[in-house]
Amino acid sequence: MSQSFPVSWSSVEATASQTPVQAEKLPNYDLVLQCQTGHRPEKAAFAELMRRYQSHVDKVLYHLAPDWQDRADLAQEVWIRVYRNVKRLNDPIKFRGWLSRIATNLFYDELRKRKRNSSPLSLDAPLTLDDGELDWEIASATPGPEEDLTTREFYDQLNEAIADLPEVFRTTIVLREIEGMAYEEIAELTGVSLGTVKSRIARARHRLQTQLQQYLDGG
Amino acid sequence: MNPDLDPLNNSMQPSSDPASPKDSFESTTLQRDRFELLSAYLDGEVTAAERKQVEEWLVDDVTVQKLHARLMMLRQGFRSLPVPQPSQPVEQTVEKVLAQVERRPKLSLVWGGSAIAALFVGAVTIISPIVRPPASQVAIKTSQPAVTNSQPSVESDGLLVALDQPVLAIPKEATTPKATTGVKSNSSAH
Repeated sequence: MSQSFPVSWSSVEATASQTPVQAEKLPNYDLVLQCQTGHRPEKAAFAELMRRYQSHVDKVLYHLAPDWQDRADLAQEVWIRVYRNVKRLNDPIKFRGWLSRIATNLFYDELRKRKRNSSPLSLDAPLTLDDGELDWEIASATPGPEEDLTTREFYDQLNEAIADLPEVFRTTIVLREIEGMAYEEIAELTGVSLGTVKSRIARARHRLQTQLQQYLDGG
Repeated sequence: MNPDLDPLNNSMQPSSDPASPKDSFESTTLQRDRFELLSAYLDGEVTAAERKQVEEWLVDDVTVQKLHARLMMLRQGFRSLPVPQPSQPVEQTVEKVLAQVERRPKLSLVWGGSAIAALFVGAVTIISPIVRPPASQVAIKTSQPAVTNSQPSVESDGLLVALDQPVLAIPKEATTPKATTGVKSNSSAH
């Protein structure tokens, strides 16, 4: 019976117990598996998991909460939750989605706290990116110089346009486009009907495509 | 149908259409519905009939074709959006998180330790009354069997004894003397 186990299981266990340094060489799936073995995730494996997925956490949190200054703290809390609960993840293939969900849940927990504590006026305040904190990392596969400039400009504009969307629209389109959630999942997470999700996504897209028309038509 | 359409109309108004004011509402609604359907189509969140409808538009309608192309570009933009510069370097996050998760078990040990201590104190307080009672409990336990043991013998001895006992023992010891004296006095009166 034990012979019917997939090879990856045994190989992961073997590598995990012998040399934790090899975590860097493991494919994502096996790395998640390794973090699930033992009483608590192994330090080296978990660190490697964080290195691989931190950019995703950053991206999700950035787009959900572009105007929050303490996203680094939130990201840490996301990873602490992952550390505690990674064993509960049934299918390691779904790790990325699961991670997004943890980050999103944390964002909503925080949002609720902040809404309770802050005056309603501040929620209506426009979301600006004027504080100059942003510095964009350009993808490694860089296009040609002149193309690079327009692409960069497009990304800047897109980021700004997303951040300028009213909160409910921004979070909904981010859950859809960046986190890849289905409408039903979004409806469940945000506590609204499917129709509302559909409408919010359409409206967010409508506004974005109107604002970015010049870049979108060019392609 | 969509409760959030109207209240947010100001902030999320679709781009104005150069249609005449009379039929602008109708065309805007139609436009909005079409756009919503197209958007849902993009996400694969449509019924078979809706899909067919959108695909027909995509063949016939240049405006829908153009919108579709734009939305596809927008999606592409979302997907290839560069990751923002992290608010702190990854290694710093790794370090902080590992420090926290390693500290937390220690904290939990402290809590666990105090919980164990509390349990111990609790146990002692619970046990200590028990320590004393054993004597009484034993006494009760030993006396109980004695009663139950004696009962059958009493019953077997005869109902007379059992009937006799209540008359004497049950009612109020204070009143019995009076009652008996009353009875006696009555009987003596007779």
